[in-house]
Amino acid sequence: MSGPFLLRKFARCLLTLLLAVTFVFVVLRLSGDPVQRMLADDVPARVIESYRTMWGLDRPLPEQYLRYISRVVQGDFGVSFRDDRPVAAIIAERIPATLHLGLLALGITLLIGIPGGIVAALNRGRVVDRVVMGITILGHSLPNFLLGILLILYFSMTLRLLPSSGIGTWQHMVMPAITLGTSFAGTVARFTRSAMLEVLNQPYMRTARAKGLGRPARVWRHALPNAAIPIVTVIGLRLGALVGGATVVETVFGYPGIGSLLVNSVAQRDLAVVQGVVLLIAFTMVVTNLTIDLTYGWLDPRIATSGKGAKA
Amino acid sequence: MTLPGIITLDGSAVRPAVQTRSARIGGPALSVTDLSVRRGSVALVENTSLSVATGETLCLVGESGCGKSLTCTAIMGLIDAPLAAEGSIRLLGREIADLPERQLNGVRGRDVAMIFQDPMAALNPIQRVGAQVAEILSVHGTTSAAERGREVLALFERVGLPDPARQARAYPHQLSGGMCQRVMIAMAIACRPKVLIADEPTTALDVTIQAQILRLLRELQDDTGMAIVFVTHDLGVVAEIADRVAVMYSGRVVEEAGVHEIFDAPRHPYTRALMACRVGTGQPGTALPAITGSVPAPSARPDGCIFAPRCDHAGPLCLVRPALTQRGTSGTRVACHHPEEAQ
Repeated sequence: MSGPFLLRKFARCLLTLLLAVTFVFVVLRLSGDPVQRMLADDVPARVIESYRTMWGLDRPLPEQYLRYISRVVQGDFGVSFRDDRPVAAIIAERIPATLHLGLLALGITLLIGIPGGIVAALNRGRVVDRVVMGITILGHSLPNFLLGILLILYFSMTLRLLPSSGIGTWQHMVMPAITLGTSFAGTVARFTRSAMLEVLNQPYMRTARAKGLGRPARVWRHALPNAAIPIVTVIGLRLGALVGGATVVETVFGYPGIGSLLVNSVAQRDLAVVQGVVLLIAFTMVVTNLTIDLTYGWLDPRIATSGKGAKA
Repeated sequence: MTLPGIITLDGSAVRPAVQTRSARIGGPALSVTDLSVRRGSVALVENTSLSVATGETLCLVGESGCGKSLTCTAIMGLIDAPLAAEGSIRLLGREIADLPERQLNGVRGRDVAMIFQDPMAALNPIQRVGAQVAEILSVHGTTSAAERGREVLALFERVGLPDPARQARAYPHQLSGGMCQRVMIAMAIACRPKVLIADEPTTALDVTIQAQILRLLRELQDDTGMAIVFVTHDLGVVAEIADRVAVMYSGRVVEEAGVHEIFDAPRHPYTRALMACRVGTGQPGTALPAITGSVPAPSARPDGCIFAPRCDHAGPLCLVRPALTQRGTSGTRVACHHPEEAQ
């Protein structure tokens, strides 16, 4: 990796983060006075005023913005409007649960999506292909929470096998992970299928066959690595979204992760926490995207991310 | 499509350069009988028969779309739906046309190997070329990685790649087209196949590189005694490498003869027309001759002789009755109603 290349990427990431924070900051302040929303109607004006002063909401917007940014840079994300605890601590205690669920769901997504896409591509136009593609459309168009509710109805209410909400045992993970994992498997399958179809017709696949390689070896050693870039890209986007994007599933299953924290904070107008969560989500997205960009050069040596990839 | 520079690899006019090498030519290595490749009811290649002996080079020539490449692909068993191949393909006396895919995989790359027109595209772009050559060794039984590594270096050395150890670690995009074709050849000869199918292996290369690749193939043939089926539309290349020539037209072989006979006394009007179209045979300042019209689509072949609509000598018989193959002495054959009259 060459220095200027990394530096440029890095600067772009910082800019993206800044834009995300700015956008959230402005939009949240345009959407009404949080103090009035949080306090009861009969609270005296004096009290409201004192809260505003405490949270700095009485200052002009530009000043509030600059103060916020300068604190974030120093690692201070402010305190929650509700219970005065530091935002960083509130978020940090939710992260393990979210990562747990997110990675489990990602595993399910990959286990279903990639083989599904490969099988569909290898059987292009045949019944298997149509069935797989039909399922992906179904998975894509069914809302995320619907499967969750159906699972709860069957496994929790009817069979009484699995807990419908909460956290703690592996049983608590099963339904949220399946709901979250399957919601994206269809998209991965579609990307895998189209990437594979493009690769399967390439001349080097014929060479592999002319060498006497069997089909499994041709698929795993030649086709899939060449189809990897679009697949990795779409998975990376999902990886970033899994951190904050499980809002619906976490809400349905009462799962205490980042997603439900975001939903609650928005409902309660806890601006500091909302800003903190959005920043975290933006940060995750940016980091995964950067990571993916860097893997391209490793996945395909023709993509020059370094000086040494030049002509031999 | 003939590149002007190819006419003369040695500076003279196009003439068969290959001296008779009958001493080295042995028994049949590959014989194809009545091979047809169909898409639905349309025959893209029809009743094609070819044979090539150990140490011999058979050139398949003809215009684009006449079924040369398809014939090769069918010999390798690489025909997939919606195409279907039928007919007999005997490799060293063993029928391979009906082999199931798994057994065919044991034959491909080991007994019969293939090199392709665009070597850069025929190599996996994200694998080091050394690994790609090593892979064919591992498929066909070289279990030790160290041994494979040594063999790859020896093969690279043999096909004239400079600094084999470094080239083995290169990716295809870091090599030139000619070097990629040498890698492909190294891969093809890795398991010492008895038959090499070369599908326009020099078409995508520079003229000077073409000559080097042809010379390399000849040397390798002299060393190993492999039979070569060489597809080209370039008569300069034919003169350079062929022992025998089969001329294909619209999915069929219309004439087959030794390379000298093809150049000195072509019998089929199509072959003669091809010869007349060679660059470098006409008078300076005159327009190059061309065969008028184009190859009929396989779905719209004429009832009579397939070449009749473009033939200067076609008579009433040619328009109504297909021309059957007439066999001559020493394996020559021609599919024409009036091969002698048209002379």
